[in-house]
Amino acid sequence: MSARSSRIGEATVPLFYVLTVVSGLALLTARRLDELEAMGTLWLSVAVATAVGLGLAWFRARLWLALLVVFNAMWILPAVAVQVMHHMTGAWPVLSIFLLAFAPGALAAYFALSERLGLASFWFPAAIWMLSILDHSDDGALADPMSWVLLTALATLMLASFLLQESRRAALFQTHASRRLAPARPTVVLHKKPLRSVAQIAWAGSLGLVTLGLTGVVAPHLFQKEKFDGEHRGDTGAETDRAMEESGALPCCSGSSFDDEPEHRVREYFPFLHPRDEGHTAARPDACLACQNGVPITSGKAVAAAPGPYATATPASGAAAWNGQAWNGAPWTNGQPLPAGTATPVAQAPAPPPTVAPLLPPKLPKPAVAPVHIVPGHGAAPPSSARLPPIVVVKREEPIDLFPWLVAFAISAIVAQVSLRPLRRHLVVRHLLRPFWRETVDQRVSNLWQLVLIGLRDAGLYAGPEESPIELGKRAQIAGVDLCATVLERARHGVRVDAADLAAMEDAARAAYREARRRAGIFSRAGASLRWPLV
Amino acid sequence: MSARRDRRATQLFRLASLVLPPALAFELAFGAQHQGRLHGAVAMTLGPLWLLTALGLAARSIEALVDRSRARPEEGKASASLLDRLALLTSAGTSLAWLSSFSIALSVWVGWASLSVVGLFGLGLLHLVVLYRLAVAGGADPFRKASVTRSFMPATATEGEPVLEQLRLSRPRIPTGFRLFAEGRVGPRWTTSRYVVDDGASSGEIVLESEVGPARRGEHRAEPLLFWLQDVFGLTRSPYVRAGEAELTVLPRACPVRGDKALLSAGGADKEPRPALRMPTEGSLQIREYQPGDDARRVHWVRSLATGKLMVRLPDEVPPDLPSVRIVLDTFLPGTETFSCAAPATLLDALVEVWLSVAESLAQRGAKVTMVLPVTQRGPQGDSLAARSLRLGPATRAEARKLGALASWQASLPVESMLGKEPTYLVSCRVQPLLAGGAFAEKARWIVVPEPAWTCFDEPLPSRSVARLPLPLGVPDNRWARRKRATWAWWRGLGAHTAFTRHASGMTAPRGSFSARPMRQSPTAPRQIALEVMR
Repeated sequence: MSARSSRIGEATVPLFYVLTVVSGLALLTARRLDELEAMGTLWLSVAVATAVGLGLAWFRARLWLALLVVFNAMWILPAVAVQVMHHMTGAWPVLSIFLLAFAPGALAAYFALSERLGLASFWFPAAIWMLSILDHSDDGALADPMSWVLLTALATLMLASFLLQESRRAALFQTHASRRLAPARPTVVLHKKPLRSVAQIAWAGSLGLVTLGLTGVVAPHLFQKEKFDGEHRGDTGAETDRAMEESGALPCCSGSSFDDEPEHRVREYFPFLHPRDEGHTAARPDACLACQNGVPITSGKAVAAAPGPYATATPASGAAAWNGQAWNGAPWTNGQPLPAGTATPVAQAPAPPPTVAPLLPPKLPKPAVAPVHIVPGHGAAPPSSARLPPIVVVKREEPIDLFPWLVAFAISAIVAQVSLRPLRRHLVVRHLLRPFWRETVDQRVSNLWQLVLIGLRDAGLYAGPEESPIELGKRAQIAGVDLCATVLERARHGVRVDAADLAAMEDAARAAYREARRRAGIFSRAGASLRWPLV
Repeated sequence: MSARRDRRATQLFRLASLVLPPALAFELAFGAQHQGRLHGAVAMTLGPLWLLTALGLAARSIEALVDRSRARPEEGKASASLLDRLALLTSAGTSLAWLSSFSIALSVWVGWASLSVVGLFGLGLLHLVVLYRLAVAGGADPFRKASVTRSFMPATATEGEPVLEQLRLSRPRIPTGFRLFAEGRVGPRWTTSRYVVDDGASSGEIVLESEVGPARRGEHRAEPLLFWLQDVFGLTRSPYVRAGEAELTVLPRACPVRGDKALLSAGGADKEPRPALRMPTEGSLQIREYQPGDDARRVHWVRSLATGKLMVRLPDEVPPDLPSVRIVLDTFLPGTETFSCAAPATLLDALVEVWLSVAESLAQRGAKVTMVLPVTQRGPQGDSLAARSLRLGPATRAEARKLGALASWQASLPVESMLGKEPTYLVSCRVQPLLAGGAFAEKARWIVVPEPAWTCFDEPLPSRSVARLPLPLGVPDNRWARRKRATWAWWRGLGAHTAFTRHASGMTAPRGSFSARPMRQSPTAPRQIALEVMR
């Protein structure tokens, strides 16, 4: 391992750590576009923490010093930012998120370069990734396919992280010690099995798969859930919901109105997971009532918005948007009034349900801004004379989830790139044998030698850095290579190469290429067709 | 003995780490849950892994015991012990075992889902890698069918020259997912060379090189390299295998000597003819005819009368001739093997350098130089120490250097046994009383090589910074135990150097002795040796 590759090996670990954290944050942010303030704080905190941790590691700070710096930064940084915080309305949640992410983020970044704390350093990125993984899983048991996709990605990242950490340790093993070390020169490979890399990939892949399966089977049983009732809605609203449910009336449109069971969420370090009903996600009403603070609006100014996590649209112009129709007390649905004489939802039994559809949004994730279509006009307030609560039909447009498309695009790109390699190789080999355009004799000689080298590489033979073509020809023991090497040496030394020499070299190169590939075997030939660069 | 005990304790701890943490995690975490489904999941996933690991350990234990019982007595000590074979976890693997189990236990207590996922990932990965290691990397890997050739370039070097170590591995067996590590040095004063080979080179042919120079004088039998396999995650490793012994001869260098003419004069053997100290009636009494200017006192009157011409006597002179000098290297210094520092070897190199440089310098001035030094001779009855003398000339210069490469401290052949009748110079680090005394002592003069002028304790003091680690994060030598060991070694070395300085200093040199000191015209100029008369 040369000094340059050693430096590269040492630099990959911090880069990969940053990549893991950033990708986790990006996934989480894509799911939390409606919580930009919290996400922004999280990004800022993680960025500062990672910079501090990696800086401490680069400075070779001892552990006690790293702990001291992180501990003091936890009160110094907020103190410095106190002026900014002073003007913010929700300062404490922002500060709590910042502090929550800072300490583990800094220490994990510091541990990423340590000798033995690789697992501890990976916990912090994993905690961020788990938010996205659990977000995709309704019951917290990794039942959703997307959860498995993300968990697989996390497992891959962890394996790669361990691999890179060990590669860094191997690089350090050759370059740093308390005793004097001899500078190592680059390793010269003269011969190796062509399909060895395939075995490596298969081994790492199978190891990762088994580890992933083991984790996926056992880990959900260790997940713990915490109750979330009383936190998102007031007691009054809950009581009203229960009363309305008992009376058979429609529930409120507010988010908490559907939570007729205590909400739960999987416990995680970062409190960003959305709560879910325990096994009641399918029982959604088809219609709901406009409510204010959990109380159906029966008089006064109607609120045409569904407060809470579902929708926050408020009519902009109230009566101005009212289409002039008189409120006759009939319920509305789908933007049209129900036929006269239709019983109001309050008085009506729940079954059969009114012809209102398609209705309420899924419980989670929380949409950023869901368009709300209000039955009695476009955002207009119902007439104050109305005694019955209006039926609000919330039509939520399903957000386009770009993630599967991105995954599909990435896979397609990889497949295309790999599948085009045989074609590229074929064109190159064809050009080396019979050039597509006119080339000089010296260039032809060089091309034919390249062809020989490609064939030798297919058979696992490599030219040493200081090995002459003649020596390589002797070592390869393949008919034709020595003749090609002789002609090449002549061309290199300026000795005239005529058409007969070129023709002889072409025949020899073709024969050597075929013989080398024949020795390689069918699997190696198949693997070689995907190799790039060719030499 | 203490180091060995520490090593045993570490091995036992690592062996226990394979069993204890998962057991604790199972008891504390899985046992505390009292969930039938969790128990089932664990029993179906981790249970077989633990069972297979136990079986693998048992199988390897039996194999190790059988191997030891079959091994010949002389191989018994060299082969790996039972603990060496079973303590397969590295420090990173040990840490992963404890951290993952701790994560699982913590996930039950605090309930964070990410902890359980990370812990299960870690535990699963560890056990899979351990199982794989037990299956594929036991026994005498990686040299079951492989050959390792170690050589040095140049094979015979001159002191101070850069030396390149070359290691050629043919068909090494590196299982997929493992790396081959190698570490070793030529001798105590040489740099340590370290190699890492990826598994892609398995069953192939690779050349590893490192620059181990500058060369140290001596005929070296290079210590065998230590080979072991380590998985790409750095969690497990195979037992150490020693291989790759090689020989390297480093000839002493000769420097220009300043003041060597004074050395010849003082020995009474320069090129100037000297009048013989004889009585006027003695001598050959050669006569010739008187010439104007001759001393009238030399007129031989009797002959003048007989010949009828004035005849004069010629002065009786020693004809100008090549003076003979004997240069003896004094390596008699009992107790050098007890010093743990590099000073004894450095001082011996200096003695040989002065011995060779002075001899070559005098030979260039025309003196007949006989070089003498004690050399260990290998014979059928064993090794014996004897004085070896060599007349220095153009044809024997290379042989003289080879003799210089063989010089070593000895405690059985005092310098008296190497004296002769010629004018003799004793190249020694201290002036010792000659047992022979008398006649020999008058003919012998000392060339003293003062120890403080040639050696210095230049080992850097290990960093004792309380805030910074001496090496980048991730280097094993940052561990507290190793730093402590390195600091103790430095202090021991300093103490040994001081003691050796006292040990190598002798009595006050008699008048007429010479002192040899290193000298440079400028920091970049080649070294010279300055001979100064001690008054």
